[in-house]
Amino acid sequence: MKRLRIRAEKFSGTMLSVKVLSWLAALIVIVLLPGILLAVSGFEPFAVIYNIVSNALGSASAIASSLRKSAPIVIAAVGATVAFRCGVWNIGIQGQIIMGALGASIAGLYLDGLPRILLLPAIFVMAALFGGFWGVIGGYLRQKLHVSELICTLLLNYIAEYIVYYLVRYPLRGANAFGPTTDTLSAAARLPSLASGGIWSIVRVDIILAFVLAALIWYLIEATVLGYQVRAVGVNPPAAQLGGVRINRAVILVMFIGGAIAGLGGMSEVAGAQGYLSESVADNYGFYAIAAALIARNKPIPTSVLALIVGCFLTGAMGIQATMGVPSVLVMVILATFLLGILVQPAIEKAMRKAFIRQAAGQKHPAEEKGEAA
Amino acid sequence: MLWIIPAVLNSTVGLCFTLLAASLGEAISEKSGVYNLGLEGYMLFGAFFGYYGSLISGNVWVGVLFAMMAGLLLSLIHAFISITLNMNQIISGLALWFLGMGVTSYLSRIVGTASVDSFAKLDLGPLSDIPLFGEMLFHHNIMVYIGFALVAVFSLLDRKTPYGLINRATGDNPLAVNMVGIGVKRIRYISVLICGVMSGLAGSYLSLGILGSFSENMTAGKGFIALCVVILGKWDPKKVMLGALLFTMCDAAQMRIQATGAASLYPFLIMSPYVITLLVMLIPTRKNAPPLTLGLSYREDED
Amino acid sequence: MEISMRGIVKNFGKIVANNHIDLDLYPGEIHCLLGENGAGKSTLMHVLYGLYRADQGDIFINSERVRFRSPQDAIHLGIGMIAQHFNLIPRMTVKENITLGKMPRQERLGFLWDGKRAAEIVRELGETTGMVVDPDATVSELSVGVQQRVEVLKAIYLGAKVLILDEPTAVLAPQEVAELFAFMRRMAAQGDSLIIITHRLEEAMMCDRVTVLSAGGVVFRSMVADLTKEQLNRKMFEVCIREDGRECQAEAMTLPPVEAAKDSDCGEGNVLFQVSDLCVQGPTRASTLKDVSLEVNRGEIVGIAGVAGNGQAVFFNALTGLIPLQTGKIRLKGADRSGDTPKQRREAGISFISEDRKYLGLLLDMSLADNIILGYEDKPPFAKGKRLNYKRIKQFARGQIANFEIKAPTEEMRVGQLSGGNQQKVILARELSQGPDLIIVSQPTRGLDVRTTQFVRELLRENRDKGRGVLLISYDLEEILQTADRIAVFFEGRLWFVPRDASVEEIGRYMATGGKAGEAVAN
Repeated sequence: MKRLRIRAEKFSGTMLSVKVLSWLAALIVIVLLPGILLAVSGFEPFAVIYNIVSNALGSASAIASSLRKSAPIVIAAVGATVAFRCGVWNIGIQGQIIMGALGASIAGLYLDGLPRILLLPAIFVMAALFGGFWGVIGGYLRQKLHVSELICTLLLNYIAEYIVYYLVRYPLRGANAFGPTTDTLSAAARLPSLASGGIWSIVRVDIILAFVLAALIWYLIEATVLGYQVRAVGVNPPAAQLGGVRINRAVILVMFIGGAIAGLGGMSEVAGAQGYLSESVADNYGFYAIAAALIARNKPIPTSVLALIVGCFLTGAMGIQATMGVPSVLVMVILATFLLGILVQPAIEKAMRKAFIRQAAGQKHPAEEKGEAA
Repeated sequence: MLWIIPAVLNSTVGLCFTLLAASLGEAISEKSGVYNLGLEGYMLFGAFFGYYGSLISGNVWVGVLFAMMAGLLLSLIHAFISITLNMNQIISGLALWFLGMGVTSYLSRIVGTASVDSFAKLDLGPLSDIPLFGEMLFHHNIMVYIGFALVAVFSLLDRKTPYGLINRATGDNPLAVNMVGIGVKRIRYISVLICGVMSGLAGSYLSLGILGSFSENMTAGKGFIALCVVILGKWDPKKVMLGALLFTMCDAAQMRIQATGAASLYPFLIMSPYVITLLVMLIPTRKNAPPLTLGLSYREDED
Repeated sequence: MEISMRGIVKNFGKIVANNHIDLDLYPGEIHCLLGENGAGKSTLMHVLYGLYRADQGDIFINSERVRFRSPQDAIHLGIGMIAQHFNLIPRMTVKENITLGKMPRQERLGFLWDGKRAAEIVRELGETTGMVVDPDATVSELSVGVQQRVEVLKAIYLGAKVLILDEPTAVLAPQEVAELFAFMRRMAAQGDSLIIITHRLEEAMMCDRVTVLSAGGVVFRSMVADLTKEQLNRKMFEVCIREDGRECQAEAMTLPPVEAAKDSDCGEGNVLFQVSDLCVQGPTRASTLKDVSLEVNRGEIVGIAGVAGNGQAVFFNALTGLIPLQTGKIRLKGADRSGDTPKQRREAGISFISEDRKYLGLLLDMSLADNIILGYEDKPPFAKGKRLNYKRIKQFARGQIANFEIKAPTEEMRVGQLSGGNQQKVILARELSQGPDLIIVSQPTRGLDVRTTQFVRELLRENRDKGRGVLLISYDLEEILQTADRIAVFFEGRLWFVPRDASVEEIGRYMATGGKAGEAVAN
């Protein structure tokens, strides 16, 4: 808050309008490409957007659908922020989600005899451990073998995908399954719903978990010693190291925590919305999560809100895919351009400010020249 | 199993163009200091627009042209953000990767999957009848040969031309280059755009080269494997070629084994190139190899 | 070629680096741009070389107004510049570096580079200027003095008739300085002109004319022949006195005689810190430490002098625990600390202030409060168990802002926005407020203004008087002479202690050639 106050004191009227203008410019950049894409494929952009929104939020059952779909994305996005905050490029969120989903399914299918009060925590723990493990691999390789975590986690995404591909076709294939999936988890293994019947019964506690996790991560990063060390490493690793922070520990921990949370996102799919594990579990959710985290500058609370919005958009888009024929992948295009827009906005602002200053200086100059020539 | 080796080698040569072209382009770009995480996106653009160009014109070469321009376009955006605006290269790369994925998936659902002609194989007459090597070396489409020619071109470019030397200098010490009056931004733009064109070309080979159609995310991570190939090849075009051949061989081998083996092995076979890439990345390399300012932005007129 | 700069104004945000500066340069003269760190000399020359664009003002060459959009324009007109930190490509050869700006092309295949011609060019230049370098040597293997020759040849190759040298002697031994000035005289005799930026008086006295800058403005111009050193010295501080009302510390920049050692007990019980037979691998042969030993007693400042690149940075990193020792031991208060991590050494009572203030010392994007607890964040009072105690942290930060006179509006201010001097104060506050026994500090006043420089040196003396030990590493010989009780010199990875009554010339000899083998290593 204090930081805002300092900045506000520096603002004059012109500076404020520069900021607003630059955001407008960024906004234009953002909507341009999706707009062109839609127009080129014969759709009317405003109608499409309107339909997406009404599909997502237009009725109580729509909202329920959106919340249900958003939960894994919000959870995964929160997980993504952790490593990013530390300056570690954990692009393996998708793989960690998938492994978490795997862990949850294994627990859900094979520990089925347990009473629910033990079963659910078991699922939770397994999902977190599987996802955390998948994340730690990347962290370990980065610190001990100096391999780029960018590339490692990315490759691990593909590897996770194919591991599950194999497992759902052979060892884990459900006896009653229609395609390459596991059996549907029993009712005891599913996450509890928010309401026992009616529209809201499709919404489960994972959406609440998502925001609880966001708050927990916020606390971890801002208020604990570990969070301070994570932030320090994220800002300047050599200085942090000289200051005594153990970088290995910080990196491996954030990869574990981030991966574990992403794994919980996988649990949210398997024990929540979907009910079973398939090869296309959490389809592209990892990328939506990463995009949301980057756009919200890795702050957990804004990220969770943005991820929620993304989830709603995705729900709406899938709806209109059936009705209007607009491919739902449009959401990824919008997110990508959003990320680009966020990236260029500071530069636009800086350029506009320079132009303003030069203009103001230019007005003084002729007067000064007269004085000097004398 | 040994009898599949000739077939594997044959396929390796036939398929390596994609990885080769993309890696050569990326190596040049990284040498100037710019990292293209969006390579996967450039290749997808190349693959789709190459297919599309061929579809609407009926001519494969029009498709190739479209592909090169598509890759160029995406890399131009990255160049603008990373070089002119000096913003974070990794985030820009990620955004362009998502963009590439999203736009090509979107458009491919709209455009459909009618198939087009792929590159014809060259008929070099009696040369291809030489036992053992004939098939492997002399019976491929023209792009394969262009690919190997490009290795020589890039090698020459890198080591023996002023552009190549300045390019390498820019990656190590852009201020030094600026101080002798050479525009750092200009050199980096050139290198990144070359990478874009090459990646577009690489992508087009996927859709036009063998299959004759486009499918979503058909690059399947090859852009990232190309990044690994560049590191393994220590940014040297000749070594990059060896790296590209190695990884393509894994891919070719797994495809052949698939054709003969049990279906249940399929996921492991498909997985193997990624696993092998990961393992190869773990081999410690000399620290002296990378360009010193890779990924870092260069600001003029700022303290 | 005659150059005139008129009314040059250059701002960086709020900071006015050049405040309506006028400068004239005549052909055949060696012109000194004098001023302490931060006066605006480098900025002005960056403007002249086309690296920066002035916000106001003009440049005239031979009475014609010129506009530089980039160094290319300046080079085209015959201006060359050798920056303070060399702009060479370490893994390329000398001939590649020198001809980078205008690469010779092969006759028949014009798009190819002609390496043989490049080597010839280097040899030809060596003959005409007297600066001989091996064209095929890799730059990273060369010593600093030879690298500077490469820089000079580079500028000459591009046709420089005016050569700007930014603090060229900072990294040279006294003998190499003499060689450089000899070269400069030869160039001036040909009708070319040179501008040398320096903050050292004795070098200014070797030039033809001097312009003194202070706090962004010109305070004085004169022919050197018309001045004495003391007069010039005073002129450098004029603005300082006027601005404040109170008098600036008139600490002369001239070299004081080496003081007699303080009467510190050198008995066994007073040894605070011992380094024995340290061998550490460095990036080059010259910087690899070989059998380095020293002792620091309580209540003394040990100064380590030497030309940069002779092992000082490696030594610092080894002492802090950032790089491991190959052989040798480090002992504090009798206890072996050789295997300790930086954190453990900190806890044992050692503080480190590294030379790279911005990139190793601070977390620029975090607040002052966050920076001031770095290294101590997991202990009370800053932490309660695993939780940070923000109330105490802010209290502490505010206290240090007052103690160290740090100019920052609040403790929430981003450290990156503070001036260099205040940033250094934050680091000092952080390191010194925890009551260390030994303070290891490297280049503490580099790039700082006069007032902060005095502040820092005074602070080190205060800590020494409190009975702590200080190990001061500096490339600035004056700083060592002014502050240290005992002096040691690094040369090619070996450390020699200088006898207590050594003259500056003798110290210079140690810096340029090292001591004799087997000479007393510690006293």
